[in-house]
Amino acid sequence: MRQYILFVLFFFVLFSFSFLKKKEFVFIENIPWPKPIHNYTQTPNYEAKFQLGRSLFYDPLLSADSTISCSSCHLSFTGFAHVDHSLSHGINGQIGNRNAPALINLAWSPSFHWDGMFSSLESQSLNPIESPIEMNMPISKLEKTLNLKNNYKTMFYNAFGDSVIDKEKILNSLAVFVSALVSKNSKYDKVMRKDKGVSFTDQENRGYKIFQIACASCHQEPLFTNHSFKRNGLLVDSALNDLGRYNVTNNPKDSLLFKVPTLRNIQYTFPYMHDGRFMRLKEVIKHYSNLSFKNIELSKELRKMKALGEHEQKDLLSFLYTLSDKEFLFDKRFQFQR
Amino acid sequence: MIAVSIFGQHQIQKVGIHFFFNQEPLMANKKHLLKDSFSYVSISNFKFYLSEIKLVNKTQSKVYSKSDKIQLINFNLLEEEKSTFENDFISLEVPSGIDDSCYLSFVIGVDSTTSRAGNFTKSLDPTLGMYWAWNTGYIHFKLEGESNLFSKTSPKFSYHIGGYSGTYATQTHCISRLYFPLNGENNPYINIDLKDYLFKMMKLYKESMVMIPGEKAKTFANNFPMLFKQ
Repeated sequence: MRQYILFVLFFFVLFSFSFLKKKEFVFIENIPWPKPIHNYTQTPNYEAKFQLGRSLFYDPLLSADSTISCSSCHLSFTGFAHVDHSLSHGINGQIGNRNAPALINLAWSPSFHWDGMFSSLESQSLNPIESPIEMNMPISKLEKTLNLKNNYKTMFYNAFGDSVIDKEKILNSLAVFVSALVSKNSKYDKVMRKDKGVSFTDQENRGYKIFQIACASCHQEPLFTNHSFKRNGLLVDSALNDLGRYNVTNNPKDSLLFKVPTLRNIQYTFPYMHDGRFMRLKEVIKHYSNLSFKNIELSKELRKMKALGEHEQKDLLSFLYTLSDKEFLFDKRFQFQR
Repeated sequence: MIAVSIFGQHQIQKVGIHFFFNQEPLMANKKHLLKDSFSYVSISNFKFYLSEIKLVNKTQSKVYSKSDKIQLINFNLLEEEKSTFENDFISLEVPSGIDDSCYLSFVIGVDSTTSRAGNFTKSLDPTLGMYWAWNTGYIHFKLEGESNLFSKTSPKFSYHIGGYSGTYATQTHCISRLYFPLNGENNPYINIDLKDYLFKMMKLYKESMVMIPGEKAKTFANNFPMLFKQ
């Protein structure tokens, strides 16, 4: 029997290592994470690029009438989501058609925006800058505007060794900044890496078990998303008529597929879903918990969902709150520099 | 509601806040029907800041009590959130034994110094959904809901009134003179009725979304006193 157990253990360890190797893991404080896809940390003048990206992120000069910046819809204190706002805002009080997504651990994301329209961090930021209903600033005009600012010319010189400001440098420095927005110090992380004196409560433990059964197939640890696109059972908002990934691929099979968002800091990134229709997290849990009663086409993972009782919903909520990372949310390095 | 506790020469005076729509108690997401029994208004989110709260003697203008606290009033709090906020009342420390007529004065919004200071604690916590950005500061007043008076297919309306700098600063010193005796027996309260205010704004702008600082936001702010009734 003992030999049998050792044999099983040997293959388990062997399998685990081959799995880690295949998926190209990196260890973040002794916890295996997938290798980031967008890694700028080794690029020359990283710190200067980070600081430049941060300045641009908070600068209303990036909008046509100098009223809004990236931070207007991506607030650092709430996981860079637009807390309490269903849909993103643009200049002149214009309203977009999607909820501004949180900017958390984007370095691991193979695609960006709710429909996955963009595959690089550089291209994803160009869209809101140029969009007429968002910042409405043609990038060529932004190049000219910034080239007239001495402070920016100095910052670009420090970052790129060249004070001529162009589109590539603008988008690259923004990419460097947003790729640095890494959340990895939630209570969940501390429990996983066995930090001294940190443990789940009984309710959080129960919630974690429910999460692993009900949610983890799409919201995979440690990123709490598998970056896939799913049909989440929401009826189309007739005013927005947003068909999600179909807008990118024109493939009817992709109709109503939306990106699986990370659940990290989910407590603070309300309202929820691609159109911000749920103000409270408990409404989201209720929606997924009652899918079996709804006659809606669903992704296969959700077809297996079982209804959760009231207590189970509360337990799950309790676990989700352990994904809040106050060190990340209130990290002064990510804030506007006063 | 009045004088629930006494500390030495002072007592805590609480002033309740009651919410209405057209004299009917306001309920979250309830369709408040209008005269024609077809048109409706429902409110899903209604929050605003109260600051510089003072209790002032009616005749001598003597300030009996002044609070440094900036209170976030949130009409639609969850049951479990209610213990965290002083949500539907104003609380003031006043000298005991006062029985003359006073009025309450307050400011709706957050002043520019506080907006710039980056003090993100208590009611100023940006995770509460009332902070815009470093250059625009706090939303002083947020009112959201639905009405088929705007559109049958897109009935949603959102008014986010804020801004702390420049020509269009909307933080308004709207002093609402609310007289009530402090005799320890009455339960003073403020009535907030949204109907007249909302209809005036709807008529003026016919817009379902005002969510940036500017001329419109300033008009919204200048009319805040209409909301507060005795």
